[in-house]
Amino acid sequence: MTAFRICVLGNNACAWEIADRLDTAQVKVILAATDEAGDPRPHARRRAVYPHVETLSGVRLSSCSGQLGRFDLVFESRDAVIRQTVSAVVLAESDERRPNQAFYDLKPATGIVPLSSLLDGGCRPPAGAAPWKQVVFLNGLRTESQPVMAGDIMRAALQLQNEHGVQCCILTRNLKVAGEGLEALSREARAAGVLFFKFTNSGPTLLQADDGSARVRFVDDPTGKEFVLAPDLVVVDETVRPSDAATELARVLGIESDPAGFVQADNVHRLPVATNRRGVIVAGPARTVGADAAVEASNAALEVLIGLAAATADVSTAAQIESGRCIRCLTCLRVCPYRAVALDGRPQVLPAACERCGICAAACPREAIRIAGLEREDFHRFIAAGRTADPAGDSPSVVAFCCRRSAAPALRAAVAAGSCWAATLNIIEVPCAGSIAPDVILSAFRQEADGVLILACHADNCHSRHGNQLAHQRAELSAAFLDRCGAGPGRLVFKTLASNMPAEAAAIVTAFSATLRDLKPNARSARTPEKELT
Amino acid sequence: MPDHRVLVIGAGIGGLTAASALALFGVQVDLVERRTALGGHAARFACKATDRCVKCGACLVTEAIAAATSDPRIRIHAESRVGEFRRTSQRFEFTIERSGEAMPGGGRAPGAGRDAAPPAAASADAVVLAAGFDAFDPKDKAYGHGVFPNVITLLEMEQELRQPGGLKRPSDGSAPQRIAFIQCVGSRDAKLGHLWCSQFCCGAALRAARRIKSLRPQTEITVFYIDIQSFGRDFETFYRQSQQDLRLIRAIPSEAFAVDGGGVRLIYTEGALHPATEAVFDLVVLSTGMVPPAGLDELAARLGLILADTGYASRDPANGIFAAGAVRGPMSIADSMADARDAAARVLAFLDRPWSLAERLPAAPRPPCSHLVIPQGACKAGDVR
Repeated sequence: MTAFRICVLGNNACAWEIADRLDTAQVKVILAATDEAGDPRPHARRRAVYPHVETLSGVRLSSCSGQLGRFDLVFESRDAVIRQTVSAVVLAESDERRPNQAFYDLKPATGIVPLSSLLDGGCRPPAGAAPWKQVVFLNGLRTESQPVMAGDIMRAALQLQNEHGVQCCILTRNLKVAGEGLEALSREARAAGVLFFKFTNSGPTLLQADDGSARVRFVDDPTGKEFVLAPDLVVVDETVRPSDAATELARVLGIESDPAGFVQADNVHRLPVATNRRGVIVAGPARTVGADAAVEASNAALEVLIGLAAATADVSTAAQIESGRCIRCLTCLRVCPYRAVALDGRPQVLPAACERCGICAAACPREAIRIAGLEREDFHRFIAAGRTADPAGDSPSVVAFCCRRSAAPALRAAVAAGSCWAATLNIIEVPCAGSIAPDVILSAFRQEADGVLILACHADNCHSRHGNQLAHQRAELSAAFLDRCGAGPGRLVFKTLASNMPAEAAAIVTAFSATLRDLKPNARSARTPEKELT
Repeated sequence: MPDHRVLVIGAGIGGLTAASALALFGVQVDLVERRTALGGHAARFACKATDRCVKCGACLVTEAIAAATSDPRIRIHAESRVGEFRRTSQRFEFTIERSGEAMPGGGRAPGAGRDAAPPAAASADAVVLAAGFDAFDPKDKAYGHGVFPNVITLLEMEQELRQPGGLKRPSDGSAPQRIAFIQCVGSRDAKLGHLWCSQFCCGAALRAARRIKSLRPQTEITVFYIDIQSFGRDFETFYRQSQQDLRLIRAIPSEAFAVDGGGVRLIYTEGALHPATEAVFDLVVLSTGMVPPAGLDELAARLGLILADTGYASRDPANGIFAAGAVRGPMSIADSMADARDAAARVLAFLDRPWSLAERLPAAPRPPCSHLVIPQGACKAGDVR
């Protein structure tokens, strides 16, 4: 176990919590940060001594090659290039808060501060200045707020109200209380005298005088009364975003981000801390808003160790590129969702990065990629098994290619629940619908299937990012081809499902069986005289 | 390495996740579930995809059940509960007995687990409490749940939505044209002492509403709310689309009345400026929130725990006992899974167990591709059209 070395990128509470967990597990950690990692923020560090942790300060990761079990990292500092070899990488960079001042058309002024400035100043009126009588907080009036923001605002208002006798007003649209203790906090703030003004479609008018001071005018929705506030201070909410360092690291590591830029794809299969690259883990504030550092750290540490154990398991079953057939078109490099194809003169599969999804093998124009158990012969054997199950041949024969993560469990559950249909159904379970090549689809028809179903995961729910899209494209191409061949429309259907949709899965098969009953049997089938003529 | 045993109470998404994580690290797990089926509430939720996945996470439960049921280090005791429970100097000793609780609504849900013969007595080095939550029972609210057939709860709606074609009205099986969702039923309610937001219901209601719209675009859907809570990674986009597709009204109806034809009339006021408004709906869905599970106080007393003021469990409620998932307070499926893994990490630290996977049994090599033929003859007679 001590042979493992894990690189943790970041220098915040979460990064140090991860280091803490791994250090306890006696795993070597390199904590690398763009700032001074040897001197972490005091709150970040739990123990004085971490025997298994070394730090790299003032370094920027410039490249990461290799795979789970062995990544070669290149860091650049001001005056040196540092190379490190590690078993896994954890991206635990920080977020940052950008004030929403511009959304409210407010110019910088002494009486207008972002929330972070108020919190950094200890949330009290400045010493020596005139005491504040009234403070207005603007929360989520232009963009949707977040529980972490609402919580900070309510705590700040409560403190000013209770300890400094300041009348606080929180102007908000949707008050985000979907966090631990926030509803109770909002009650406590109200009871302490904090005023909440809620807006639905309207919002306050913010007027700024030449001296920068702001007045706030609005009609209170519930009472219809007009208010004009002239607060001593306007506190502007902020938008939480991943730090630039995190965004840059995601680019260097080649991992997907979500629409807001957080360094994990918006894909439920990545939850909680996985990425599209095995051995690269994401945790903490750059992964998602409002994450609990301790929970994130535990998840990251467990995921790293579980991943490393799996890495050593079955390297031999990964995809393999036959160099004699490969023409270096690099299709595999482009379609692999997991960055498991590296270019070293010619494309090569990184076995510990390969998820055996089969997308590359199906996409390779030269059929140069082989995955044990997922070869053309395997498909042909399974397709043939469906035909022999119904020797009388009086029911439509359906081949259903089903993704292992969605349609296959849904159909199996449907069968277990007693669903049935007027067809012989051959469920061929594949690791990803993207592993089904067009010639495999056509070979099902050649082997006398009356119809073929391709059942994939819903859009945006593919573990292999775009396997379902590729499957959809191939299904459409194959259907068009069948149509041109005169096989008639409707024999090839593409649908998406989730694993918890057994009833829907059964309904799809039932409807498809009914369609096939109305069509003539497959012309190649033994049931037709043409077969005897050929 | 010492042969550690851990008792996990509850096989919802939290308990399943904690059990699987512990088993991966070589811990022997007794997973006790009072119901027949594994997966808890989350296993009864519907997929809410529109033309794409909306990231509700309900499909993750299938994988969690498969992982836990296929791990030989997890002994599953379905329809069971912890009987006597005693702390000895170093360990916990307990009995596992029949709970006598089947799946609500009867029947065996998919994923019903292997049921090892419950041992009369067992022991553990640590305990994970993952007893989950109950849905709030709205019988005392003035919405007529249990009286008017077309007033249903979020959970009842979820189960309806699992059927192809979407929601039907309980009274006559017709497709409802006008549907209302009422948020925060039993949540954010000082009268009940429920000073919490249930966190999952805004996401569940809006996602379900948009799924219903995607299946039947003509449906008119109104959502009554206090504050719409953020959910998912791209909430701004989802919320904008919801504002276009749905009617969002910031008011909580005070009462419901039955009208002829099975309709439900709701009365609400949007503020002092607005008069009381009435509107009739074909179906009303109450977004009932989470409450601590019934019997948690009694279970806590037997385990020697003190619950938080809210009635939920605290994170580490007693030495050697760890709480995971929604038994600590409202949580989404994703948060519950992350919390359960955190609990597993805290258990491993408590056991002072090297975080080594060395004992991990090699995963059974799974063929990338396999097949299963269901001949037509396997169908039940009469069901074939």
